[in-house]
Amino acid sequence: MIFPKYFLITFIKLLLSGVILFAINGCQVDSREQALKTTASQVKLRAMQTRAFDTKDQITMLRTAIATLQDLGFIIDKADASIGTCSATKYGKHNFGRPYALKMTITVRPRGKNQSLVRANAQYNLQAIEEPTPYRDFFVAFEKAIFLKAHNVD
Amino acid sequence: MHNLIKVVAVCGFCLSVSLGCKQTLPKEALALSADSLKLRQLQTRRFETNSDTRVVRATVGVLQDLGYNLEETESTLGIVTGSKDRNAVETGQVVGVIFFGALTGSALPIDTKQKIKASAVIRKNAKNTSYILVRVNFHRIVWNSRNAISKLERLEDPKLYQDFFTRLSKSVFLEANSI
Repeated sequence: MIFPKYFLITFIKLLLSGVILFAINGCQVDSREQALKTTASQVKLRAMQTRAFDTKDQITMLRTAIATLQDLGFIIDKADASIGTCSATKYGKHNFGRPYALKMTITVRPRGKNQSLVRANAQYNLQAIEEPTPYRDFFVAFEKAIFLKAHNVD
Repeated sequence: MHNLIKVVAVCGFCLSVSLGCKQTLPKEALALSADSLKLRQLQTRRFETNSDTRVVRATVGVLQDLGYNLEETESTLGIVTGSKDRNAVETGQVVGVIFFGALTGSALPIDTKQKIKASAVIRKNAKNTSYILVRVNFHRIVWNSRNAISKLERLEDPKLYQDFFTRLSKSVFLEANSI
């Protein structure tokens, strides 16, 4: 044998840890590229994050969004009534107790004469949420809150 | 040969950990749960006044009483948020860590500091303007002695909210009577 066994094992260890690092981080070469990086297309993202509602009362929409976020366990960080925006953070736990941070921004803007557009975008720990299900869940909760408001139950 | 098995075992373990820890958003994270209504009741109180500004000022006053610094206020939507940085050392944990250290010779980190954040939303009812609704919630970040985040959690102890609203009632009364 040319190499002692020890070197061979060390080499295998290094190689495998490299493979593991690669598996964890994917093939990111320059982390600055994250500034403009998304995985889903712009059109797809907008479609999954936006809903239209038949009302032009943007303040009520924003208040409802805020109430929905609170119902979902978020705490409100910032809001602005004149632009129609709101940001909130939720701390939660996975099944085995590992904590996670979820951050969400809601914007409300007019669409045509009688409609409003509500858009939500969210990040989970260090990733953008770019699949439709979480947004669908949010809007289901949001619709329920509007229903509550319309009937003046709270 | 024995070593090679060890190496493979260690690598297999690392790989399973790295893949197993690929975190995904829990399914229930953005869905209303059975606890949502209970939590809403816990975190919300009604104040029989028609002045939301008065309740906003009273809330600001209570947060200041409790040592919070304001981070954000929005008068149209009635939003007040504040935070405070405090000590997070707990005797029980310190004793546990010392005990563990004595047994194993390795030092575990202890929680050292925390940032507690409070956020209140004060709103009028659209239909009935004779009362104001206040909903407040708290969460905190805890850092350990290695300066890593050890806890991210919502504070949902009923007593915390009862105490807060007791103070807020007093504060609304003081505001109403300009004291």
